[in-house]
Amino acid sequence: MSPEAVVRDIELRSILALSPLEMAKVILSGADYHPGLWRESPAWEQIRHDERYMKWINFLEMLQLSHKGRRWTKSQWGAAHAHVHRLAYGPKSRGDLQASPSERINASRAAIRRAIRHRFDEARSISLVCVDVETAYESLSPGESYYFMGSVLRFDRDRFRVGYDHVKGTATLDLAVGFDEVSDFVARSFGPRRFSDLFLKAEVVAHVHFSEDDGGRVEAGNFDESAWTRFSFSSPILAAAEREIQSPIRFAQPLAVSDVTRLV
Amino acid sequence: MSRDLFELVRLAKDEALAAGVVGHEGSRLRVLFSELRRWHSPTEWIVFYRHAGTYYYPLAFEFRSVNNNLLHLVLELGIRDFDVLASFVQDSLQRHERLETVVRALVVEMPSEPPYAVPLRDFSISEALRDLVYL
Repeated sequence: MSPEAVVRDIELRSILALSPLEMAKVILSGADYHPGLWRESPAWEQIRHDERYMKWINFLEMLQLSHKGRRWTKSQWGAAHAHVHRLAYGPKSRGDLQASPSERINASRAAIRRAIRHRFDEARSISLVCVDVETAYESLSPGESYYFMGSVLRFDRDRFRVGYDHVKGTATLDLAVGFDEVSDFVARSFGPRRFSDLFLKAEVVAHVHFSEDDGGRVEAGNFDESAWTRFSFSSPILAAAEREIQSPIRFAQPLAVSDVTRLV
Repeated sequence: MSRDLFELVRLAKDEALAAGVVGHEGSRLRVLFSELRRWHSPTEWIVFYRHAGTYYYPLAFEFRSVNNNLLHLVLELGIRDFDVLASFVQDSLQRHERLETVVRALVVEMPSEPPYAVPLRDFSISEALRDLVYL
């Protein structure tokens, strides 16, 4: 055991009795690079620079075309996901593992890979999130949202919301806590550099609803001209499947999104 | 994970420890905090609540335990069986952290719906892999 290791006995009832502010601190203090965007991995670098993946500027163009009636099929939206899955798990990839001696482990690996591959195919609706990986922020701002460990956190003056969806206005967890208290805790816990790595400005910008006989119908929030500069133009658009019960970190292993405007 | 835990896990600015439940006496959890690369225990207990036959996963653990994305695996990847989940986590711990840790479930039977938790529909945990305690 390292000198830094500490063992504590903790009564489970105390977890159930946490105040909203204490719960907010529990979540924020867990900040880590995993799960989340592995920005330095080869697959992630490819998403950032390969033109087949949708960026913020492509999203704005897609929105304009969508308003004029253009639609794209699920397989067109999901072609990028199929591509990144091959990069991540195909032959000679990082995920192309040697078989384990355990049949049970091999079976669970195979099940996980199938599930990752088919998440896009099985989705009836997807949420699109824009994550600004180009601009470094050093502290929280009220009214802003951030990508954090695969979740989208929204910080308002009197609320802290986890797993926030800007299009629907819903959250997995909605805590009545003041911005100043949360902001003070974050400032005490993270230096500017670590903050800029762990808190990336982000927003759920649209949903795409799929049907059997039609292309995907895009549902977006309000985007006037002032929205154009909300993110760096090269910020990636990523996706997660819409589910009855949403994971608070549903963008932890995001779905890659095709730049469908290239198909016009 | 009591009221002072967020201060304990984040010892100083930009310094954090991983947390994992390594034992329990009833509902009293024994939690080991350590640097992730040095965290080691023969057994790790994953806490689930259960109320009216439905399992719930505590949100606090999703963000801060050694295995900090179990809820994501269940909800996003459709794992409905703790046995499969435990196999996957053990495989991951072995490959990435070189840990031969056995993963078991601590099921806490609740008299009412638990706060700060997400329901897991159609999720099962075999008796062989769980301890059951009552609050």
